[in-house]
Amino acid sequence: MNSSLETMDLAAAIRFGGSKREQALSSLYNVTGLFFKIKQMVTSHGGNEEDARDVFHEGIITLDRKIRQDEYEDRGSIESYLYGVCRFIWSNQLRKNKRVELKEDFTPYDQSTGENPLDTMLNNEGQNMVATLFSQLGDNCSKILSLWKLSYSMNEIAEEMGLPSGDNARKHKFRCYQKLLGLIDNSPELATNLKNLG
Amino acid sequence: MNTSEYTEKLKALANKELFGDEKMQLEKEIQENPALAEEFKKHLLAQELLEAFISQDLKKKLNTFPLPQEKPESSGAVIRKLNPSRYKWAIAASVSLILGVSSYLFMENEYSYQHLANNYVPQMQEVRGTNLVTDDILEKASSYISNNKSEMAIPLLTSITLDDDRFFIGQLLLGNAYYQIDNFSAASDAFIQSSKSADEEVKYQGQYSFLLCELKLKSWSEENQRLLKELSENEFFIYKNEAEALLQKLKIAKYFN
Repeated sequence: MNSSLETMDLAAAIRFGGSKREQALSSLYNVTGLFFKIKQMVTSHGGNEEDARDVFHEGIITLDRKIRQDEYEDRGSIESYLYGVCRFIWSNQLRKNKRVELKEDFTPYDQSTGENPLDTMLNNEGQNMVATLFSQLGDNCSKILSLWKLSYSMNEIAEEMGLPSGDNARKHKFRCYQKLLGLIDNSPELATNLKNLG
Repeated sequence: MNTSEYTEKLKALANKELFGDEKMQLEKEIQENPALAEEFKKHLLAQELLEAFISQDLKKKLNTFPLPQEKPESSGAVIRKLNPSRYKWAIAASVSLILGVSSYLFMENEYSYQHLANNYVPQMQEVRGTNLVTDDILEKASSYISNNKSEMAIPLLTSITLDDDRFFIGQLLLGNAYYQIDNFSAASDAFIQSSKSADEEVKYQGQYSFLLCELKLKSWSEENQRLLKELSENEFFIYKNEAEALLQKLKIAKYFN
């Protein structure tokens, strides 16, 4: 693991954002035995390696979002939490496909709190709408706004985007954000469709 | 406040970057002003869309990563897997296994089932979960067992019910606790329960530990032998090597029991 992450655990690094988040996600991806355990879980319940890869990726995406939105509580290891999320994702997939009869103990995690890690995931239609919107926004604006959302500093954004200064990056961000609000104004169906999750 | 200032503040509130009095003031204004509330919804939606875009972007990046290809550590590395400060008992048991095997040949009744079982003890795995209350129970119980206080772990572990997603790991620990106080019959029941887990690591460990109880209870059968053989040939069972070694010894032991 990169030495700058030694003083900061993975969840904290993801929460911090910026380049530390990138390093932390990469480290999490390569935790010894983690993918193997998830793959075992998936393949022993009707899935194949490709399913396992998809579940693993969705698990990391969900975990990343939960941490950045302060919905992750530091209890137990992050690896165990991720495994629990992946188990939930796969059990949900199986229920949708009705592929395999689930064993009685293959239950969603955190049932006691009613928390559903898929609450933040979009269905296919929602995903397509997002992709269309951001292609209208343009690559540069999409990147500037996502870097800003991921807590990169204005100087880091300027460096990443080849802009002359942090102030210049700030102006670009403002204009891009206004453009995004304009696109939202012109797409009233967005708000309705994004409510139809999962 | 002018429009531009409102835009910045609404954006900050939607992005959870507004705090204290400023936050409370703006929230109050939003409650009292429907037009402002509508404007705020747009900013919330903008944040939601950015999150969705970031997730899509991350998915594209992850798809370019090569899949981790490693397998779990072999059973020979089981001591390194455990946290020494928490599982001293399990490590001591593992060490005694190694010492026990070497002094094996010099002991009387060396091929008795009970004696064989003395050289193979159920291993305890680190437990961490996603349910706060049960996590506390499991971690406390693990600590008690590590400190040879199984009688304190047992009531904790029996409180975990079947509808808890950590039930089967709890049963595995319960089996360890009973085993430690030589209640092999109760240990056997708990290990049988844990072997019903869908988590294969827990399932195989439960099966193996149940077989050790059978040896202790001197009730070895053909069915047990078959199960042990399966475990010894199971690439995904982390104590495959121990199972194989025990199987070999049992081939001789059957003549002495």
